[in-house]
Amino acid sequence: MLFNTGRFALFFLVVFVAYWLLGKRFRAQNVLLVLASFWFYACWDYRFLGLLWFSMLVDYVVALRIEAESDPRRRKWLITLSVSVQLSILGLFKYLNFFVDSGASMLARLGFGVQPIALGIVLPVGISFYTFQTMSYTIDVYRRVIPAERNLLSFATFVSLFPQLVAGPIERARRILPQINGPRSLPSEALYAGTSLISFGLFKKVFIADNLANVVDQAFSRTGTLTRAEAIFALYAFAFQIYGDFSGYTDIARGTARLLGFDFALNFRRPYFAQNPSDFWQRWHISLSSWLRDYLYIPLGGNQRGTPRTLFNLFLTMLLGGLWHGASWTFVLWGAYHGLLLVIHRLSKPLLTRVRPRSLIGGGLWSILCCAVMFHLVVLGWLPFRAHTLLEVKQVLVSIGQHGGEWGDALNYARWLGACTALLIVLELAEELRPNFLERRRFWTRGLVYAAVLLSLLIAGAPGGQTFIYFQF
Amino acid sequence: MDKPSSTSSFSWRRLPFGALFAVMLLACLELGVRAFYKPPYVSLETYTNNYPLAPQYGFEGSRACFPVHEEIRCVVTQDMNIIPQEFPRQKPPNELRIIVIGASISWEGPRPGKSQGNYPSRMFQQLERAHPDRNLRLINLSVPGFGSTRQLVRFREALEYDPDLFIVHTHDTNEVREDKRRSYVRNLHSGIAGKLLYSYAVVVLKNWWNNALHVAAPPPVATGNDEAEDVDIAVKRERWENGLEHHVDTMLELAKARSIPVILVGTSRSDTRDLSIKSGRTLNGFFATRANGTSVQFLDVPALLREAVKARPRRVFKDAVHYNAEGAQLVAGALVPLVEAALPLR
Repeated sequence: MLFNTGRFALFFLVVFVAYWLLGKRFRAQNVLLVLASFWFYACWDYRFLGLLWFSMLVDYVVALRIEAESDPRRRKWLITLSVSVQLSILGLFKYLNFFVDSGASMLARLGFGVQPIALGIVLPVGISFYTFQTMSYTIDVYRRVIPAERNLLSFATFVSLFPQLVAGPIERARRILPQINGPRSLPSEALYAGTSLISFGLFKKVFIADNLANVVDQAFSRTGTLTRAEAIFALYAFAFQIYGDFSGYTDIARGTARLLGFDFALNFRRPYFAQNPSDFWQRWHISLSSWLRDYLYIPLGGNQRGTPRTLFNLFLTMLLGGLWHGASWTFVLWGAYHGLLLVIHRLSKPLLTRVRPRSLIGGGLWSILCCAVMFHLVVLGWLPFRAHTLLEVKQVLVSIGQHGGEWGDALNYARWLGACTALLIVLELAEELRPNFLERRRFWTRGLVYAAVLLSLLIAGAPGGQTFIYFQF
Repeated sequence: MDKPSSTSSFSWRRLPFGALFAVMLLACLELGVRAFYKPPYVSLETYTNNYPLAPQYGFEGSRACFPVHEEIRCVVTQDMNIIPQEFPRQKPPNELRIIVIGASISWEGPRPGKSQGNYPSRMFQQLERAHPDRNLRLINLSVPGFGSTRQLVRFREALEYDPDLFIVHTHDTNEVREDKRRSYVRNLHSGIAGKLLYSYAVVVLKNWWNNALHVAAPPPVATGNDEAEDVDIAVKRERWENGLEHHVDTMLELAKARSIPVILVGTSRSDTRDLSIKSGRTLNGFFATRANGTSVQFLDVPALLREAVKARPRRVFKDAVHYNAEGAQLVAGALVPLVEAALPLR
């Protein structure tokens, strides 16, 4: 059940009405939410409901035991058990095929002909998101950051809350559980904010991402024959497609949650205005990057064990972050690329600080330059993310590297890119320069923007409810 | 987390003025487009009354007859092989206008692909010879391949030309193609996106967007409609027949409202079978039930040609349904007294 379909709209309408008819009885509301979330998940594939329940029950029980346990060794053993179970689930369903195939291919190169067993394991939707969410909960209980949740219904609501179940944001228990365990309300501000988030989310997904998907799919279906200009514009198009797709999904998720009285964490903050790799990861998929920081980078030692170890930790964190996205060498390459960017930025930081002009205008121009360089580095990074194989990556790089060449379909790509992203760029630029730009404007300015967004959806919204890219993770 | 609402009393400041203003802007845009944009055919009712259709997606996107100064000029277009002709926009005093609405049978003459010598023109020649003192004009709006849906569109358009008599020759072989179109239109207007095509503003802007970005036009017949092979042919046939009867009835009602007489020309085939078999009633039988004195007359073509066909089918037909010179002459001759009865010629 996709967010951008009439089926979801009907489902949400029913849940929304029933939910608020229950008034302030938040326990009853939680029952409704859990049932609705299980139904929502079952619409994808009911067979994996059991897996979701198993993952949830393991962490519910283990967290209670960890809290009750005072012996550090037993506590450590319990947290190891919990993390191992969650990672095993993830490893079995997401990575086993990848490792088996990669192992067989490596043995074949060494001269050992091995036929890998076709396991035919289907990837359960949202598995990467809910396993990380429950893992963060048990680790926080282990660290005594939060108490263990005693109410199974509340915990089930936290894990399975449908707006974020299949593609995040990866919420933290310390933020969501207090909201689950208390009465919720729907003031008019939340109603408007929720509706506005959903509308802008649909705009990003249906207007920007789905329209640009036509350009990108067309280009990546013939990576061997792309001209230089086509390859470049296809990459630009994918940069905006992936942003529109994922941030659009997140906006809809946050908007629906808001209409149910929840406040989800911000997941995107105009990432293409980042001035360096570190800044980018504080703006892109914030819930994942902060998860990786808190539960991987810092436990590895963070920046507390000297420069070489810091650089290693940065690189490893991003490498694993890349692998988290998908079981493929292209995602490993993407993670390694961003790890390398972070390492280089870390090393060049003192130099960059020294050369940055101090004057207002010079500083501003420097920021614009950094922003442009970082944007293009990110765009280049999207190549392995979008390509299906390393060969495709190579072919596109060769296309970009060739001299001159014809335009081919590049002008058409550029037209699509301009038409689909103009409004978004203007809005994001205004928001970047003056935060809460739109909220501060008079009603007619807001009305004009809303009308433009609505009209874009009406005239050029790609019909058919295309799936979200991040649902495959 | 959201704080509970701080006040329960109404405050006008809480109204979503931005959203309301956006809705107002869109409503104004729709009204503005409706005021200045006219779809390229007679009226929207043409379609909305029958098969709701967005202008740019219809099979009647363009008109064949255009007003040019004081003239109406009918020209062949890409999708309409109408007979090229010109006639005054305002009907001159004492002129009697006979408009023919039909398909290939009333369009084509004895030579394949040529309209010269078709039965309406032969009829007109006979009428002119018989009534040299009367100012008669024949406007033949027949188009090969047109079924009753598109004939109804032409019929409504023809009402603008102030006719004194309609000759309607509808033939059910063309209903199949139009039924496919109807299935396409149903498919096109399904879902939320399809419903949006009822908005003129959406249609105009969508057209602009599609042209600017070279978006390919939708396929002529969408897949997934009920034209699939497994659909019962009897069900489809009944639907075609119901549609045809509905369209003919609509034409008769429109003509009756303006007191314009109509002559219905019956269908025929070289093997003498009537095509339409519905509950034991033929299409010609249906036409016969609508005949009503001089206001609606019926020319029973099968009865007219039966003897000739029995003797030798090729005597009056050049193929399965189209007349040769002799057939056209026979039909024309039979029509003349009906026209004379309908028009104040004597």
